Amino acid sequence: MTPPADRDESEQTLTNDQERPVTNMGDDSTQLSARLGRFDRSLSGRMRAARRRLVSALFGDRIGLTLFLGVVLALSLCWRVGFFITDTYAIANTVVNVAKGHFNIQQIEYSLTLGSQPGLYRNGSQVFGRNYAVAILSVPFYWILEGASSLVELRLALAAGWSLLAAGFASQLGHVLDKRQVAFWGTLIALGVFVCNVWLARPLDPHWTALLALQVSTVLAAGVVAVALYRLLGELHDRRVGVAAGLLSTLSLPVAFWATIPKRHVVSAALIAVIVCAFALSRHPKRSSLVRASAYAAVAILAWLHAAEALVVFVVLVPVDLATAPRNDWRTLSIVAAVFALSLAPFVVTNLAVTGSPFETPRMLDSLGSAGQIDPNGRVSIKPEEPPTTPTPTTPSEPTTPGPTDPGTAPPPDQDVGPLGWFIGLIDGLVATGAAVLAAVPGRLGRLWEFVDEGISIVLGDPERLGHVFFRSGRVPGVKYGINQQEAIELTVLESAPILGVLVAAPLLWGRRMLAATRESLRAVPAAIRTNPRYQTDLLAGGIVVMFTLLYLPRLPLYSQITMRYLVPAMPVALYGVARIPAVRRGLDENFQEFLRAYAAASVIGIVGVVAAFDWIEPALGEAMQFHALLNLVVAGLTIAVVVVAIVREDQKGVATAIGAAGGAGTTLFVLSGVEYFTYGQFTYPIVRWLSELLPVF
Amino acid sequence: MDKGIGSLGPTELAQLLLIAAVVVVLVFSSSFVGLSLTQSESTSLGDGNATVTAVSVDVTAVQITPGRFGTDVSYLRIPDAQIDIDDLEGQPRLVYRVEVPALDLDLAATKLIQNPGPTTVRLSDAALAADQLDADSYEGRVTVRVQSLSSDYTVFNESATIEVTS
Repeated sequence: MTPPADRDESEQTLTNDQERPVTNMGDDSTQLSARLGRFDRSLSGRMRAARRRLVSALFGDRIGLTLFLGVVLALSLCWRVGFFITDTYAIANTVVNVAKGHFNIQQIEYSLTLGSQPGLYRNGSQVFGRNYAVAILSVPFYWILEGASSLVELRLALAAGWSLLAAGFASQLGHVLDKRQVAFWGTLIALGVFVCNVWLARPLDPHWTALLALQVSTVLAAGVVAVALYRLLGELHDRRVGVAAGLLSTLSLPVAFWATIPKRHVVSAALIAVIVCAFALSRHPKRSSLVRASAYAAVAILAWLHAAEALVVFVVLVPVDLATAPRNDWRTLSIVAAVFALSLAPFVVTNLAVTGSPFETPRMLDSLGSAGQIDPNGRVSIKPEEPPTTPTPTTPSEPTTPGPTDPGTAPPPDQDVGPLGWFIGLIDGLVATGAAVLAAVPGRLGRLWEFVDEGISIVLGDPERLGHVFFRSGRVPGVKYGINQQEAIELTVLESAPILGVLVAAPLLWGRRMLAATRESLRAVPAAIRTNPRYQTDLLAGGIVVMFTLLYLPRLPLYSQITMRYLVPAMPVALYGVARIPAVRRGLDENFQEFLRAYAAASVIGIVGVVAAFDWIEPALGEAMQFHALLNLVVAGLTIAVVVVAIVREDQKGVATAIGAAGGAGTTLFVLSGVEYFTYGQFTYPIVRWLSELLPVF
Repeated sequence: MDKGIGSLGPTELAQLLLIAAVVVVLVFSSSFVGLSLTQSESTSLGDGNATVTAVSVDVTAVQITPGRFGTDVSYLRIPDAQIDIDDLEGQPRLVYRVEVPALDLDLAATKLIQNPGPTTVRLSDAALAADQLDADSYEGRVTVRVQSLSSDYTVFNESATIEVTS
């Protein structure tokens, strides 16, 4: 493969900005026309420059943009309109209510049954949702979809959106590969898909817009994961390694499974990937402090999304960042602190509005449980006699940063006082907030440490449990299978992400380095960490993966995880670790074409082969998932073997192919589970529905 | 100002074609024109009837066998039902049902009849935890019905002795 060329400089716009003065006009008008032409050119030049700057800031370069579009288009093919997991009802209802301008849930748009739903909480007489970050981020898409559905048939608007994006992707890919035919044929395929979608279309009820908006935001978040991994490895190594990691992180990790479900784990994954990427970029002394600050901004947004996850990442980020940053002068640090504080605003404002305390999240409220009632019009109220008790048993609860023992501070009451009183009230409020933070932080860190401590004791003392989380599932003792009709659909990390198995080669690598180490080279290690952004990023990535896993380990294994979804946010960072193994990154760099071929071939052969095998075995759902589990374990084993041999022989032959194959095995699982195994709702795109009906599996 | 369509390359033409197709479809389906481009008629149950000439369900294949690939449960295995439809009017559906009262199982799959001719109705195997099984065999019933808003009749009704293999 020719190295992907970034052709931004030579790009041409569709519109011709050469001014052609109309003949037989007076001097004035010729001059005016010429001046207008210059203005037009400079405007279009400025537009181009602005667009280039925007693409460069958001995606790194054109390849990043192409990767983003490709991943989003591919993942959205498995998009279904419907509720896969009961938690999503409350979040989709939150979108509807937030879009109407209030935090509390007054109107239930989506409901499985009359009565309450998991993920609703109460504060006094008001009902609130669990997660406002995803809901608020989805509100713009909700408005767009509402607008579209009021004008045109929603299904056709979505089909049009996909095909237009696909044409954009084809055009970008044509530029990247420097092949105009790619753009031409890609556009024709997009047109063909649109015609087929219109041909097969059935109406889509506009009442789904809030759920669709949530799904749009999680699919875009998956695209962000790919771009962050691409930029991260492009910065530290090579853009080809970056493209490979970007593709694998979204299409071969369970990010693919959860992107359209929609679950917030994908948004967490995107933010954590952005944190690691911004950290790596900011190790370069010439980069602006804003890049470094953006890592902290992502932590703040993560806090809004899930406070415990943000805290655990923050605890790793701060020491590693301070120890390895190129500059720690007061100016840089104050920029970082200011950006962090500003980015915390959505978190604090949401908490104040929902719980009345800046650092107490909605999750810390009492669950609404059975106390809520929904009238036939969807209006919510709380039964007065019911005490706020038992959480609904269908959602596994996740670790939250637990509530402080003190009640926290309520916002200052609204009283009609003079300006002085108002000022005193403001100071009072600020002091109280500061005091609440100081009081709450040690408690939160203490509880966090309890989780991590419990996780450590599981790692050290309960290898069987660890095996059921990371290695082999089958029917895991202690997991409530009754919820899923006794089907063994809960896979482990390795079974759902075989590519991550390659990480076990890392200790071998360290072992070899240790054996080869001399006293001088050992002495050089701290200096290497101090000066090399790669080692610094390894430190951060390793810390995040370990701490994140320890945080959730006390809750795992658990039902309704399918792919160990609590650990999904750390999986792209773990994939960074895979790509950092020298044999892997050299293999991907030197044999990029082999990697792409192996990935595509393994995906196609995997999908066709598994469908053919299932035609013969006729498996039940649980058997189908466990078949994939065993297949993925075998693939992971072979890939590990290839990588280990490559490390020992110091020759990366075959590594790119093995990595591609392991990626393809993951993709096979996610494509077939998205299209065939888990049937709920209806496909968004009619053409996928038609294809799915052709497959004779279930 | 414009050189005309002739000066555009094939990619730009394809892009224009796509945009034109999108605009035309969206405008025609919009509330201003109100042309219905989506088909909803054949997706829901309606009045009607169908004549069934043959039903084939291998009742002896209804069995309880151990789950494979480490699932560690037993499965009630249910074969597909093959049904031949001769005459079709309206939108009736097929209901394929397997009941095992002793196991508290009542499983059903439905399929709208779109066209006359042979059709297959699939019913997923049902997983049973080890502690749910305490006998060597169970009595069950397999039925196939043609159902619509105006009619409902049974075209296949057989009892099955379901053997448990362990």
